[in-house]
Amino acid sequence: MKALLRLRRNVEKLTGSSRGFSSVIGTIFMVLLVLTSITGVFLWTLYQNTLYNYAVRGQNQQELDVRNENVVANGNYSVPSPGKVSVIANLTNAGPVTAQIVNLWVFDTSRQTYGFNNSVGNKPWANLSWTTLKAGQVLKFTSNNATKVTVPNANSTDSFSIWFVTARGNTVPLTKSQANTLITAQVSQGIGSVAMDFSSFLYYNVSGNTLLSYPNGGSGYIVNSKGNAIVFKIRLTNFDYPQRRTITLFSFSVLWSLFPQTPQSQRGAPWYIVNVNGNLVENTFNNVTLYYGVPKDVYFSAQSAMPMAGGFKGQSFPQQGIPGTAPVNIALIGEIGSSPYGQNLPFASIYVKS
Amino acid sequence: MSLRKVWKLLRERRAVSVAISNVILAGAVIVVGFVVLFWGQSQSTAYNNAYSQTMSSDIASLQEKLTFENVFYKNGATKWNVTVYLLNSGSQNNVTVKTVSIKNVITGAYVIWSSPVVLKFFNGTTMAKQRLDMAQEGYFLLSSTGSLIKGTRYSVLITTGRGSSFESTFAA
Repeated sequence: MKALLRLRRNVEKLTGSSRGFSSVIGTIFMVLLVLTSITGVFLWTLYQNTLYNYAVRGQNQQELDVRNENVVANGNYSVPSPGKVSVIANLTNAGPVTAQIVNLWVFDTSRQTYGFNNSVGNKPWANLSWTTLKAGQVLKFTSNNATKVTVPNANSTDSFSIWFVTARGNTVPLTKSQANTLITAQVSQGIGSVAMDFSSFLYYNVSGNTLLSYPNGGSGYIVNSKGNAIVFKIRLTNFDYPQRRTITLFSFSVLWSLFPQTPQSQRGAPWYIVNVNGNLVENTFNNVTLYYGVPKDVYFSAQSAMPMAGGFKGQSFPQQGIPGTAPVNIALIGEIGSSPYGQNLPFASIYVKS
Repeated sequence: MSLRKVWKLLRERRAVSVAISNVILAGAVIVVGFVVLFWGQSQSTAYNNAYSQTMSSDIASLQEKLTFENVFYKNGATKWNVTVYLLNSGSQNNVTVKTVSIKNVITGAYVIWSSPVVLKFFNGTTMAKQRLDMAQEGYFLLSSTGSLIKGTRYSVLITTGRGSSFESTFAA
């Protein structure tokens, strides 16, 4: 009670006297000024510094991502026609961060000309999910979806420098497959310009025009025809080094074999080259093109050169034959560059069950 | 305060001048105080804006990144050309090329100092706004008479409108 009375007395004394009132107001204004101005500036400065720190941190992270981006391009190129360079490659994202390919450059070091392909319409990665490589993902540009780049005056005998550009600004040079180089030395200088991949020699039984058990098929080395038509699939690669010319296979190209008919006699049969679309043998035929260094699956099946009257008819091993080993040859007829070309590959042996 | 006291205050004439002077003084202090307060606030706001702009500019400059996709040198009969292909791989839009210089890496001598350059899209059309947005590609051409020293390394230095610098080298 006493304390309350004292407080009331003090308040009355303070409000009752006007002395020093202006000083009090002035002090209040000064304090307000200091608080609003200085504190505002301080906090704003602090906020801006925080923003800058965030930006620096973000930039550091981006720089780290750029350094961590590791895309490896391994493949080859060919010049199917003057001024057009076809690039096939396996792009492997060997880094921990996702990478996006935005451009492909081809520099013709022989002629000092160059070209690039960044146009959505011409590249197989028009769908962005194609271009974005997750960590560990492999993007394959095969002979079917090879990226073509227009390079003025480029010729198959020229040397090229090829690199991809990622969205983060890294460049990925295309390194040539070493295995191809070794085969080039052995095949091109030795027995011709076309090589066969022994590990991908398959056969399919055929019903009408349909390849059964597609795409796995059966090993081409043990054939069980059962009297039905079959299709042989052989992966061929053009190693025309150093000219790097394109090889075109005509419809007279044939796979042929001598197989046992009886213990005393053998019989031969041809399997002519055909076009296969998906799991269907086409009734028409377009010449098969082998670009330099680009593996291509080639199919042989027709009883005679395509197109056949009445549509495709597949060749078979006769059901009345006996099991036995049979040598297989591929006789290729076509063009290399613009010159006629032919090559016979006595390449494999097969065991015919029936 | 009772009504009688108020009436007494109004009727009393003593010390009126003191009261009036106090009121005037208090009013002046309030007015001057408000003026100083608003002045201080405007000053701090101006400082904040300037600081904010500086920071934004610094951040934008920090986030700019130009990648040299290709630098191609061609020596003609009477003049040489350098074509510089760029990709905006940073996280800022509106990247402009303010100045470009080419200098001899060995001697440090400047061969050309160009300002401004004409930016074009990769398809050859000139960019209307002369700037590269994020993930956009563009190129420009530098040209001069004479020729560069064959086999010598030269550097291309680009300074952007925000003040960032990017450099790449090529061999003549």
